Amino acid sequence: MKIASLGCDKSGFPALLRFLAEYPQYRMDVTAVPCLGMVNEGMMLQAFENGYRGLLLAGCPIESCHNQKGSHYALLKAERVNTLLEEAKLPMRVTCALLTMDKIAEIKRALDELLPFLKEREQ
Amino acid sequence: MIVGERKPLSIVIENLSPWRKILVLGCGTCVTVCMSGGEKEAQEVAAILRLRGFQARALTIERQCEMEFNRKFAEEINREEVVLSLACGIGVQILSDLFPQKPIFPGVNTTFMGAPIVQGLWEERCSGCGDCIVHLFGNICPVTRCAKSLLNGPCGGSQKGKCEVKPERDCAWQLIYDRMREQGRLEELLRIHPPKDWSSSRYGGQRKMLREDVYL
Amino acid sequence: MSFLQKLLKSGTFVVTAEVGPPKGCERSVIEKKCRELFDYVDAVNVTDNQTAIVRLSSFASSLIARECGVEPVMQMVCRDRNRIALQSDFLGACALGIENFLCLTGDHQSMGNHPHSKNVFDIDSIQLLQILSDLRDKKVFQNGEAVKGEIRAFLGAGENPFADPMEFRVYRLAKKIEAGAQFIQTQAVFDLEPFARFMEEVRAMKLHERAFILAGVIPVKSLNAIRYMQSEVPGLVIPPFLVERMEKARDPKEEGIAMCVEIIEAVKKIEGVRGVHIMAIAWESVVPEIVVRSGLYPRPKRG
Ligand code: SF4
Ligand code: SF4
Repeated sequence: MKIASLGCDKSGFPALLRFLAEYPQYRMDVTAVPCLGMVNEGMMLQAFENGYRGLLLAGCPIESCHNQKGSHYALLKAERVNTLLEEAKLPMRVTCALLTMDKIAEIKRALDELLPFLKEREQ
Repeated sequence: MIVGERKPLSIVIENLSPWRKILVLGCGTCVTVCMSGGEKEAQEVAAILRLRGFQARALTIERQCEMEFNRKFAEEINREEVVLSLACGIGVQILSDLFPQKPIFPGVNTTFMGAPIVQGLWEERCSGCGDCIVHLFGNICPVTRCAKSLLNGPCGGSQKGKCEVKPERDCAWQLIYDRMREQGRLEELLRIHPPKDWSSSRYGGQRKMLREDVYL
Repeated sequence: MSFLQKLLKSGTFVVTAEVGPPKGCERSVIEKKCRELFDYVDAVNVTDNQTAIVRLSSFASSLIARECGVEPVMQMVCRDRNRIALQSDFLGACALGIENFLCLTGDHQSMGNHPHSKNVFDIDSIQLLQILSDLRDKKVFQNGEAVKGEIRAFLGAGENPFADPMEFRVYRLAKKIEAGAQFIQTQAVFDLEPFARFMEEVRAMKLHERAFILAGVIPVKSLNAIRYMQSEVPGLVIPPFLVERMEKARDPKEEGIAMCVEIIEAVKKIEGVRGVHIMAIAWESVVPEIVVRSGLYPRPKRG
């Protein structure tokens, strides 16, 4: 099951790299973006069309987002995409991890929630 | 403007289930402003449909409620089996008048004539009654905004400015009262407004407007 | 002239009570309620699909009440019928001897048990009063065409002194009287102070000389009932001290009755109040006790 992740330059991306180094049992493709705020619904759906089943957005906590509202909007958009997927009875989902560079436990939490959900939907 | 809401995708998909090649047709006017059927939404719905195994393409026409705008896209429209129109109900019908052989499905629930109030909030303002009397009520339409369309309100359920029918909704008559007071025109509310002539509204059947001077 | 109108004209302090038709076609339900009330009230209000819940029609129920010897006040709401049906039913009721009518706008259908229905609201209660009084006095339909026959009807309206905007309430009452209301039944009074203020305004405008005003009261059966009314029933204003009183009561039923009797005794003393309207919804059997304890028994003999 392919998982994609997008992380912002400031915190999400470095955290994703550290996470993969520390927990090699998790596999996912990682891409850097300047800010989560620029990730829109179209891009998320594109990831699914490219064959990914899960999408993890990793960015700064809402209060310390470098672009002010970027993370906040990312959360709302992710929720909207999940609603569309749910309505269409599609098994893919987006999840978010808002963290500072060294809080990689948050990534683990998000994935441990997402992966069983996706597995269940697969059957 | 016309305000519409995205139709739940479960229903859209069920309606489209006998078909494969879908053209998702957005509209660049009202439904773009209310973020339910513009370019962005058309792309999203097309992506979802592809994920569900349809062959879906998105295209957006500037104004589906005008024949000319649609004609230009005849070739693209004819190429697909069916159209999922994200325009309002008017757009859907005009499109169908132009392409009578084509099955066309609505992807938006057209809800009302209204306006964006703040970002993300739209409210109904007019029901097109065909005989505008809004000036008598401080320019707050009682036909549309009072849940009971009272011309001699408020009813006994108006409480703290809210409507008894849905407490999250303002009582139109409280608004009327406040606006008339602001204008020093409260006396006008003492007048008994007679029963309204509804024959000009949709209760009189479908309405048409003909301008002889410009009619071709 | 209806019995109710005669009594009011003669200066008698009248008593009316609400009778809710059943959710079904058993006339015995209405008959039983009428038997219970027969000796204790001067007329009964028959509700018209109150709170938008489908019930036996107010027209048919009014006739049943009449057959039981109790004078009905037939309620008519604008939610379900347009001006054609309302005028037609009014004429029908007049032909069958119903003489009192109460014109109301009606509760919105979304609050009842058929929330998916369409509403009508072709006219509002004030326009209905105007139409019915024109049928009677000017002998014309709403469209101006002549109507045949002698219509005897005593027309009433509701008014809620406790709804907002409060400053406008008495003016709206004036509009109703102007439109043809001869008697008024108010929303239930719980808080006497705002009601007394409202009546002061009524007297200042001399409205009490143009229409008979009946104060509405509701006997409260339990703590739950008063809490429910306080939070869920639109248009009812219940001051917290009354809820507290019910909380402390050892016998809530008795307390509710006592409270109602106190309110009746108090409104009786207010100038311009010409009667009470007791709305003991689903508790009609308590009405006789309230009437007796308020010193309003016996009632005048029917003619
Ligand atoms: S009075 Fe009629 S035309 Fe005017 S705003 Fe209201 S519904 Fe629209
Ligand atoms: S509360 Fe106000 S808006 Fe609602 S039905 Fe009554 S008068 Fe109309």
